Amino acid sequence: MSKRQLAMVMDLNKCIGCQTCTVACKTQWTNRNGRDYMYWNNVETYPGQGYPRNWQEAGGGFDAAGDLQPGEIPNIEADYGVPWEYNFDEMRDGAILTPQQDGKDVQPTWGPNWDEDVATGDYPSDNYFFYLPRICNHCSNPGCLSACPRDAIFKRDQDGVVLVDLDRCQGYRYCIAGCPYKKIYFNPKLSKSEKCILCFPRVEQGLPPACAQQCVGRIRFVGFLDDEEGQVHKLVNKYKVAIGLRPDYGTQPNVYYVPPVFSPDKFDADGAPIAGQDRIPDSDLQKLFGDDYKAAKETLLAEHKKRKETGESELMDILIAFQHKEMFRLDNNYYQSVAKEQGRPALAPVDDRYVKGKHTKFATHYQVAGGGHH
Amino acid sequence: MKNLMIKSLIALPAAALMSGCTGGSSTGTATIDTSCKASNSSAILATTTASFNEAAWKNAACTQVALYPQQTMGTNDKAVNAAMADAKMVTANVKALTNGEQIALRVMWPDSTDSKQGSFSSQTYSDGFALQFAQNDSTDLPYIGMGSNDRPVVIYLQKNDITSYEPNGNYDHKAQRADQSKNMFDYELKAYNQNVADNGRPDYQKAFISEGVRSMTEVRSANKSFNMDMVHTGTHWVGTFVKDMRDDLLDMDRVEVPMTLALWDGAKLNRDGQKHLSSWVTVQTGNATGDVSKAIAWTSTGDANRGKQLATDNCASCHNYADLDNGMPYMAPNLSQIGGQSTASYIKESIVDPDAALVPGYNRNAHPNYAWYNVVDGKRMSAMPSFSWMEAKDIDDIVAYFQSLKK
Repeated sequence: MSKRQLAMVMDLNKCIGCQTCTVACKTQWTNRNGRDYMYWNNVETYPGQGYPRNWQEAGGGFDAAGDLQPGEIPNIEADYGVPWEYNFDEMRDGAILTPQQDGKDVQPTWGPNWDEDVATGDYPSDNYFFYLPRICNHCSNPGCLSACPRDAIFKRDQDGVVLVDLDRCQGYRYCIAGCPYKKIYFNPKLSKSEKCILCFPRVEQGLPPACAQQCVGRIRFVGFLDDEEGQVHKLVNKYKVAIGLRPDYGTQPNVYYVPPVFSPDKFDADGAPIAGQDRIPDSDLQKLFGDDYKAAKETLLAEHKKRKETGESELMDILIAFQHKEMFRLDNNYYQSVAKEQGRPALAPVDDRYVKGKHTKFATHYQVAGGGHH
Repeated sequence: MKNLMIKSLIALPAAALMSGCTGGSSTGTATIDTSCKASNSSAILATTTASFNEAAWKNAACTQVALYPQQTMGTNDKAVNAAMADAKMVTANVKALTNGEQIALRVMWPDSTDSKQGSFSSQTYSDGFALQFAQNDSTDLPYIGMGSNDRPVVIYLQKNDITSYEPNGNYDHKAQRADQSKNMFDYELKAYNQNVADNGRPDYQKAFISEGVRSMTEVRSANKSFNMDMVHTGTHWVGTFVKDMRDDLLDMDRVEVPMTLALWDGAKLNRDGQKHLSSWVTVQTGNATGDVSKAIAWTSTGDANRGKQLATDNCASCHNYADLDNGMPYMAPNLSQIGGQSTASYIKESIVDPDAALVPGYNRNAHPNYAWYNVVDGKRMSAMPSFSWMEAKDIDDIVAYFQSLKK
């Protein structure tokens, strides 16, 4: 357990599956040097096989007694999908459209979002799906960290970000089997494991993770769990409407989801909505979010009703996501003091909108103040 | 070119070249394996030099070394657990030569598949071999799995792998390029590929120093003083190791240098501790049998049958071995192969002083309820209590029983 925990909340009621987060992450981190096939951030259609394929059945995580469970290492071609290109240049000379990878013809059988937007149920009466964006959960009890025989994975004390020490990593891949979310990847070119770093170099300079800042649906909130004025704290700890994914895996994830409880009603035989019959079944959401789901749903529906009737609800106002500067509270003064303690140069924030936090009370342009510094 | 004399390390008989082989020969006398000849035929290795040419190897004495699957700790990877479930002992043929300036070892072991990790797979692993030497002359030998506190080992590792380039390892972040962006970065991509060709490591060979698991550290400065190679013959691997007799890392110019041998089979998803490992043998420059050899060769004369019952009463509640699996998962090393890999001295030491060597295993977080070590003043202490209170005869009997455990 780290001293503090930086966390993310994703509101699944608002995710439109546009993949802007995916692209933001890919262009920032994973479009080169063996990371090409990785999606540190992906958005999958649920119900669906997910990314990598069938990750929920691939083992890892902990049992009720707290012991690490055996797991599987997915296959790049069959489970992640090869990042293929098309031979557009050759087509000018009459070639047929062919998928290629590294200049060789390939026949992809799977890829991220192979089953995108494939719904479950019968159209139009009760078909449904929703989007599930996933990044590394930066767990408090990481399966990857527990599986590593080299102690090459560590959880940063200052903010709980889980990182791989690439000098220590020897590419054994037990971490991949150990992570129940399959959010740590093997880089076959470097023979090392790599993963989402929660954009810590951005966060330390006052910028939210790329996936969160670029999100057009404004579904992502970023802040410290112990920052009681922060929206992340309020969603997770005050209203308890944001819940970790698959808490039964026992890793104590720190990416929290507001479950999609505002789904449309099912239709009857005449195509008329049946009041009170949600398209997304509770059983699906209970599987994903565990026992806390029920109370979260009740709170969300009650606050929703209250906002409709009275025009007031702090929770609904938060979920409307009015201001990025309130959604992202990155406590820049805290990071500066950590840098100072560690004898590192404290970098000035590149943006002053998101720097507030428990130890950073107010901000003026390019100047941060609070907590006894500056 | 100076035409160097080739001499085998010792005046023959070959039996003395590698002494103290357990497994290959239980008496400590190694045997000559006639099939060693196969290693002379087809494998032309880069390390084969004017000194260590094929004719020299042909005449070198050959010694068999037995290697047992190292499965002291289970893994959390279902696939490798299944692949190694029925793993058995393999025999490697080892030869050694010196020309006074350099020492060369040639290892041949059976493996019908030429396995490479490759540059685009998450599920493939490389074949490889490693030689581990005790850095110091001491009768208290390091733990065979990467040494132990104050008992350093030097490890030379060769993997059968592709050319790789580590921008991160070289702190060369600027060299990173996106393969997809051909339109934008064609020039940079070509420059990057050239950079890989120029600076990539065409051959995965590394030297390490280690005082126990997690302390293993690559010694890049040693790269100029050794060379390793491995060539597949279709049925076997032939691995060669050539090193300066003396350098800052390891002095081979000693009467007897304790060595262990490790083999990884990529087809069986081997990596890390999932491998075959020998017990200590010695590389000798003379016939003299020193104290180290005596320490390796020491065996218990206890009553193994009585030891078996004593082990059931005292050891089996934590350790799994043979057909006993009462211990909780990950709680204590599995001892099913301990007789193949560990010297009797080590087994005895571990019974009376479990803190002397902590067997590498899982991260402690993998099994919080059954911690196999505790941290005291920053030092890892075994969760196993000392059994030094036992009668000397009882300990000898247990040691005799554990020596018999191998398959």
